[in-house]
Amino acid sequence: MEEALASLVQAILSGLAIGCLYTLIALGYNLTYVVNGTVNMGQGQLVMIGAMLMVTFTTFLDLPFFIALILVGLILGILGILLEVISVRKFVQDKTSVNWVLSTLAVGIILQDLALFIWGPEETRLVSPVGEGMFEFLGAGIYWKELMMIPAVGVFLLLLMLFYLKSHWGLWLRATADNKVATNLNGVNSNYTVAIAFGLSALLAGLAGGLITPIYAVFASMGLSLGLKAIAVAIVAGLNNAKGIVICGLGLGIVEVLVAMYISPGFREMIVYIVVILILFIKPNGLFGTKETIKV
Amino acid sequence: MLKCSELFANYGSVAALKGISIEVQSGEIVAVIGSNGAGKTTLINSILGFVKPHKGTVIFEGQDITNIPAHKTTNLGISVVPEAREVFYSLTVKENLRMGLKKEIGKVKQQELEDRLVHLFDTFPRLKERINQQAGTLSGGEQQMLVISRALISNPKLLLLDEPSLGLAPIIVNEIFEIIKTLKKEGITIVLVEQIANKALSVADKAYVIENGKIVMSGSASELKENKDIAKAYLGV
Repeated sequence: MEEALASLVQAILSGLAIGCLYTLIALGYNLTYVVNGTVNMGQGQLVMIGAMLMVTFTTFLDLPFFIALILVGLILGILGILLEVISVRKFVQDKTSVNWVLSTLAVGIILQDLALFIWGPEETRLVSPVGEGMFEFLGAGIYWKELMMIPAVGVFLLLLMLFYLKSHWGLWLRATADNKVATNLNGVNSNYTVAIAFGLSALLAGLAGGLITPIYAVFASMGLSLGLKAIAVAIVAGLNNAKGIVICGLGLGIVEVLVAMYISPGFREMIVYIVVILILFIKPNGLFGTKETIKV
Repeated sequence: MLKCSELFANYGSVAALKGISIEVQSGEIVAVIGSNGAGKTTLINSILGFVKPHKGTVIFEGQDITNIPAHKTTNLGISVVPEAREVFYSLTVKENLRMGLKKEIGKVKQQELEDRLVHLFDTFPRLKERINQQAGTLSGGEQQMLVISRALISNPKLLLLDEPSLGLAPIIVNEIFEIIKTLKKEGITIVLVEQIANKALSVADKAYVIENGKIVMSGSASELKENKDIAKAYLGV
C-alpha cells in the first residue's frame, strides 16, 4: 500500500516536472494566437535549437547553467522576431490564408536540418546544475534535476504574467489581441507588437529547450514530438486561454507518466492523443476556450 | 494647421474622394457634412494615413503626412474618435485610457496620469465610476465617452471626430455636442464629420459639404445655416 502511494507521488511529481515544460512551450502558441490568430508550427524546432545552444554554451563555453539559459532565451527571442517578419507577416494579410501554416512549418524543418548539419545526429544530455541526487518524499524518490523544473518554470511564468499584465508592453500586446485597428489609431504599430509576441513565444520555447537538457536526450529531431504535444495542450485547453493551458500542460505531464507507469510506456502517446480527440469531439473550443464572438 | 489639397482616394475599389481640399486653422472647429457614402470617413482615414490617397497631399503643421501610416500620424499630435469607436472591449476603462497616451505611455508618470484622469473626469464623470470595469460592459454612450476621453488624454493638437453621434440616443447626442462646445472653449482644434448638419453647424466655425467625394459647398457655419439648399438636403426642412 505504502509502496503504491510512494510510486503515485513520484509519478505525479515527475509528471508535473515535464508538464511544466509542456506548459511553457504551449503558452508560446497562446501568445501569438491571441494577437493575430496564428501559431508557429515550428515551435518544437525552436525548443530543439534552445536545447542545442544550451549544450554548446554550457559544455563548450563553460557558462554557468542559468546564465546560459537566459542567454538562450534572449537569442531565441530575437529568432522569434525574425521568424515573424520572414514567415508570418506576409502570409496573414489575407485573413483566410493558411500559408503561414506551411511557412512556419518550413522554417522549422530548415532549422532542424541546420541543427543536424551543425551539431550532428548524436544524442547528448547535460549534467544537471543540481546534480544527480534524489529528493526523498513520502517514501518516493524523484531526481532534483526533475523537481527543479517546477520552481524554475514557476518563476518564468510569474515574470511573464507581470510583464503581460503590468508593463505597457504587455498592455500593447493585449490591446493588439483585442483590436488591431484601435491599436494603430493609438499610435502603436500592430506589426511591431505582433513581432514582439512571436519573440516572447520563441523565448519561452528557448527556455523550455534549455531547461529540458538535463532530463531529456538532446538531438536534432527532438522538436517535432514536443511541438506536437504542446500544441495538443494548447488546443485542448483552448488556444485563447492561458490559465487553461497551464492546467492542461501540467495535466498532460501527469497523465503521460501515469499511463507509462500503470499501463505501458508504449501506449503513452497513443492514449494521450485518443484523449485529445475525445475532448475536442465533445468540446470543440477546448476545455477552457471561449468562442470568438464577432464584435459589433 | 491642417491642409488637405486635391485628395483622391479609393474606398476598396470605389473612388471615394475625387479631389477634396480642406483647410483647418488652429483653434477652429471645422465641420464636414455629408450623407452616408459621401466620402467623409475616407477623408478622415486619408488624413490619418489609414487610406493612402493616390493623388493630393495632407500637410499637418507644415509637415507632409500624406504617406505616413496611422500609428505615426497619431503620435504627431493628432487624435481620432473613429466612426466604429474601436473600443478595446477586453481592457478596462483605465487601460483604454492609458492606450490613449500612445508612445508617451512609458514617459507619463503615475502622478501625471492621475492628474490627466482627474481633468477628464470633470467632463466625463461616469467614466470615473467605471474606471476598473471592462470597457465591453459599458453602454454605447459610455463607450463613446470613453473613446473621446482616450483621444483627449494625450492633449492632442488636432482632434478628428468621425460621426460621434452615430447610433446613440438623442439625449446622449446632445451631451456629446455639449462636450464639443466645452472642448472648443479649451481651444482644441477639431475636424467634425457629421450627418446631422444642424448639430454640426451649431458648434462649427466653418463647414464643408461633401457629396460623392467632392466638395459642393463651403463657408462659415453661420452662412451655411442660412443656406436653403443645405436646409433642404440635410436639415430635413
